[in-house]
Amino acid sequence: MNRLTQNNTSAQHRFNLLTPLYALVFTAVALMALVPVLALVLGSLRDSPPGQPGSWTLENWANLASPGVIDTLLTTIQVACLTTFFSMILGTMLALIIHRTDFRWPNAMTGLLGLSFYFPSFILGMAWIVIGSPGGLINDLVRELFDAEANLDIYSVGGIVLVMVLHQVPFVYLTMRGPVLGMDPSYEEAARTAGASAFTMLRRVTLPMLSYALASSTLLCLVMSLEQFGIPVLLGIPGRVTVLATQIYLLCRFPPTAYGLAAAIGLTLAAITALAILLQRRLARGGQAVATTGKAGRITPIRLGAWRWPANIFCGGYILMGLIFPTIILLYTSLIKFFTGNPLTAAYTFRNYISIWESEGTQLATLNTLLVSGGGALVGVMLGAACSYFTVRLKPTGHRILDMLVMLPFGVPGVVLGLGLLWAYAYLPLPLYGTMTLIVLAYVTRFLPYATETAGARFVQLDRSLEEAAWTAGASRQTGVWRIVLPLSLPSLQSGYFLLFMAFFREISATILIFTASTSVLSVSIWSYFEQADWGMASALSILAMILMMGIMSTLLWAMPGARQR
Amino acid sequence: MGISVRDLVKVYGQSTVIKGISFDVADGEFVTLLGPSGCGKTTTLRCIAGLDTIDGGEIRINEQIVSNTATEVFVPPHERNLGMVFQSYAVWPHLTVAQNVAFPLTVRGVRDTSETVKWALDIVGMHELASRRPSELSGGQQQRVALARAIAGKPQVLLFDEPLSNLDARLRDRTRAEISRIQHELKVPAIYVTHDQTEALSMSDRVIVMSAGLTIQDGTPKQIYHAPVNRFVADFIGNANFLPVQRRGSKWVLPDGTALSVCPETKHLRGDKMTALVRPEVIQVEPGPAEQIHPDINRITGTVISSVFLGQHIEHVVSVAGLELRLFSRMPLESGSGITLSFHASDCRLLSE
Amino acid sequence: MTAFIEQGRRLWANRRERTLLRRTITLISSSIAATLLATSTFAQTDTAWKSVEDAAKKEGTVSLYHNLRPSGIEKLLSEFRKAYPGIKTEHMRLGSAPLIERFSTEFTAGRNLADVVITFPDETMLKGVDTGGWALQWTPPELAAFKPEINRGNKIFAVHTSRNVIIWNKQRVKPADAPKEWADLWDPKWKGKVAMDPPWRSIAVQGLIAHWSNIGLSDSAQKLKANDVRFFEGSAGVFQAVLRGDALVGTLADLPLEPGLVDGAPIGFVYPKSGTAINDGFVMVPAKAPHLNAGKLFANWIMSASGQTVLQEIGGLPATRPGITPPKFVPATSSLSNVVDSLVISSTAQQAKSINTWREVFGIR
Repeated sequence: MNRLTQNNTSAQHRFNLLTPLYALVFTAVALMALVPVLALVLGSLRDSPPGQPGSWTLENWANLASPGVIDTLLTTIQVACLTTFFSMILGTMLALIIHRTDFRWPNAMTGLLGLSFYFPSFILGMAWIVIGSPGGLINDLVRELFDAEANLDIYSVGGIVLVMVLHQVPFVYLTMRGPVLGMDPSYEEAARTAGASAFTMLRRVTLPMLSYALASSTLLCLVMSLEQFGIPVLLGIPGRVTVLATQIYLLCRFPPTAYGLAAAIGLTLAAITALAILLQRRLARGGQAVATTGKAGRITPIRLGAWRWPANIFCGGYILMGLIFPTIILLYTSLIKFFTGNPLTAAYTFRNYISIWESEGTQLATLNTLLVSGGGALVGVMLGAACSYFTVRLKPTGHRILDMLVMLPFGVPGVVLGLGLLWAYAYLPLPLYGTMTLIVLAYVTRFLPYATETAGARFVQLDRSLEEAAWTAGASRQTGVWRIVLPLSLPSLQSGYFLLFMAFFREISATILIFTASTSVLSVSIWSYFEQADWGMASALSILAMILMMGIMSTLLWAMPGARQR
Repeated sequence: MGISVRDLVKVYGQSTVIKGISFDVADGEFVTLLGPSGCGKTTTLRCIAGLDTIDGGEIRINEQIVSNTATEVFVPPHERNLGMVFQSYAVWPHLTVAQNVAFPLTVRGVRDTSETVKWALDIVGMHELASRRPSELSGGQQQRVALARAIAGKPQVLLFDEPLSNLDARLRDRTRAEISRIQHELKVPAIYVTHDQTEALSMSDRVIVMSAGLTIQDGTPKQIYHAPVNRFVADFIGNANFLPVQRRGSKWVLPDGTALSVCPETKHLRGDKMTALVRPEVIQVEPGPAEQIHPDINRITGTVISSVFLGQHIEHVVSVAGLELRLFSRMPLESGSGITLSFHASDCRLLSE
Repeated sequence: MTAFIEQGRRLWANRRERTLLRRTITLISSSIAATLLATSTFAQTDTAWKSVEDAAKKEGTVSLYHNLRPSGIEKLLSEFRKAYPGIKTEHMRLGSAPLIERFSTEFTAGRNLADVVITFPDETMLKGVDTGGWALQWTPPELAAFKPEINRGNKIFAVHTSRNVIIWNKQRVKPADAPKEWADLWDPKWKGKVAMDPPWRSIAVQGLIAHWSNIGLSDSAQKLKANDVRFFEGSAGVFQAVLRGDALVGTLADLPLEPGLVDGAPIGFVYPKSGTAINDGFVMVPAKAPHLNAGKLFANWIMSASGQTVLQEIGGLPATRPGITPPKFVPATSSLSNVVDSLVISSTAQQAKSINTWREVFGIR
């Protein structure tokens, strides 16, 4: 008898400690999710900056139809679609090659792709500017070696798409990996024994079987592309390629500012991404039963044969372009006084590193980053687990609303959320502006859905009868949670903590509009250095930040074995 | 004392899964709720446990009202002092065997649990494995841990939710015997839910047959088996042959006119058309034509249609008076040969539908 | 004002916020009172200054909002800390326009976090300083050593000067081809290889454009568009672009020039004979600064001889205090011909007009 599908109505009576907890969690999440969104809606109807005297107006919404905004919208869609298209193809190819063929180094590739996943987007963008800008390495090399003009320009739609693809391929790989590994091999075996070649089998059996996963992953990838902030801003502004996220940033940073219009644009962008997320969740729910069984592991790998070296080059090439080159480039720029294309004639110095080491500002930023990531992730996981328990297990009145509230920030891009928070908290009579609490709030709001998904998945898997056995043995509901549910969920809670920590560490789009002198974090410091075109400091700090990140990653994985499962 | 269920009603969404049932379990009695899936037996058990709320009626455990919709009383499961064994064992993987068994005690604040844990584990024979983790145990061993855990808290009621369905046949037999034994030793009222008639017949003091949210028959295993109240019960328990009969005067006849002597208890039933129950094991078969021996013994001629060798006996399908009957015999019979069936009138019961 | 009253009305309806509102009002009124007291005496005597120092040390921290080079700011702050141990320093660096924007937002919201501000002012800031109550009115002791022009209403004081300059990449541009005048920027031979900071982002550039109109170079927007000018972030961005070779020539405010040349960067530069627009960088102590005395102390220090030397060294711009050794590579402002002050030559209306023209020409928004 499938207890999991029964609606437990006994939950409606007697909460004891859990009722006030539920009320607290519900209120907290409601405020966190709704305040920025409502503030944006309000802001979009004002004709003056937040808090300054002005009047209500629909002009901002009318301005959405202006040629400038329409242009930006089209560019955004163009960039997002191209990026999604290529990322999906490359990412799925990687997943298939690594896990479906007799590729020789699957573990190494998985590890390296995992590392690439954590490479912050704007740092990748910075490195690629050095590589691909008109005065960058590639153009220089071509000029010196072949005495010709390559005219490669990374400040273009093509450049932006290239770097965004490099950034998003690991994500696609990671989302497709599970379905590829979990496929029931008998369908493919049937095709092979019926005489299909490897490619035919891939085309006519494997890919169709993965269609749900592919569709779901495509939508998520699309949302990521729409939300991207760092790369389009870095590469787009010099080349005058503007996407919606960039435009919001520009409208708030540079005079004459137009916060109202930014709010309207932000809401529009959020509406698009929210729609995509809704579609994706529908799909994910519907397609769960298809094609995945528990019989994974007996797959007969496809033999690569003549395709071995192309596959190796493909995999190696991605790692080079997405991970190794950028890191080397950054190392190089961090060690030179000013930019020279030729490493042999450059003036080397350690002063950037020394400067960072002595810099109080950087020390503060590092501390802030660790605080936000470590503490914020903890808050996020606890809140996420609590929400998940209420929406998946207890199901008290209003749990569906709670579910929706938690998911709401999922569809809101980081920079839009930051803008909403700027509007809201700069003017609410709460002393939150300029505090670390606000930054933590912003991060937790943005990433709460990740925590609830990780914890929630586990709660769903946890057999109901384990909890019921506790109740019939004399444990109250909350004792049951404390002694049975939590200990058994520990691995996925750890996994959630790890995920959140890493996400918080790299985050920039949500903070860029609300950080202040004392609440600066590492990503913002790097960004500031870059904005002032101080390449040396920006790359040195990037390198240090990445070393710090990898150190913390290893520590966390060592201390929390549960986090190793993805 | 014991368990008392009155007019229990349970509704899930649009459908009423339990339509108003009442029964009692006396102190020390072992009662089985038996029926096909979806009949409401598990739901009833969960209502008694407090895992589900009720929508009508009342449940009492040892004179205390634990669920009552009229007065809106609801005692949560952890205050009902139960011992429950689940189909999936629900043994907690992060605790050792001893910790699992001690749980009902530790959760009530009992400090020294070692004696009780030892006692419970001894009863189920799991004492040497006290420090193991459930992942190191087999299914049967886990079930015994679950059993020990259920009794460790000295519950006032024992509840079993199809505990043996995940075990293989031989293990099932052994564990069945143990559960019976333990319940008798503890003298605690027990409710056992199953769809397996062997378990029901062998373990229970009483069996309640359920179907579609209602109780069909409540009686001892013998009563259920030998005196089923209707066709459903007769069909559900044991093997059955059903013969349509018609009243002719004071007698009952088969469709082809052959007279049938039926069990005197059921002779008085109203109606002109009824069904007669004849279980295969009561039918004797011999080759050759029939001769009336005794008015109380029915002897009918027929033809063998087919035979299947089943090991302990051969099952024959025979054609008699235009009907097909099954019967068991050690004697091989040729297909198409003429045979005579005999069975005593008291083994032929009339059933209402 | 109206915003406050509105806000107050909203708050009053909510009982929970009343206590908070009361506290906020107390805080604001007491800081206003303190400010009034502080400004009641225009001239500070030496003993009065000592009390400022002590009060600053008690406050213990100073928060600087600035647009100076990020790689130099740490040195500046550490020199200040050496001079006044016991006072912690915090800073936030943004481009001049975003910086003013941020300050304005915070000021209007009543969230005052900055103790001292160093930036190039634009019309918003000037309006805020002159009539908006942004700046504290006071007389720093060091003021006496400066020429009177740098003082604007005893509220903001010019501490260094940036000048618009033309630069080129010495490795890729032959000396004969190097630009000499502004008009060279739209010479077709540099098509696609000209870099600049857009006027909507830079006050310095707005001044430059006004200067161009004044010397008869009209339609600069269209000419530069025809020459495929590329925009980069701030003067540092332009500098890096030319250095890397993304562009071969460019114009910028000369903040990164001196430090770059000290490093040995192969950049050539010229301040055209037809003149250039200059921008003074001012220091301001906000009237509502949370650590008012620390802010005053810092502002005063940056105007002292030691402060000005450090500022020039790390800021790369000539300091305004007379008697400071001029920078090594770039010429002193006095030696340039036809220098015009951006603030003087471009009025608010003109600035807005030119920005709009440029925005239209380049299709922004």
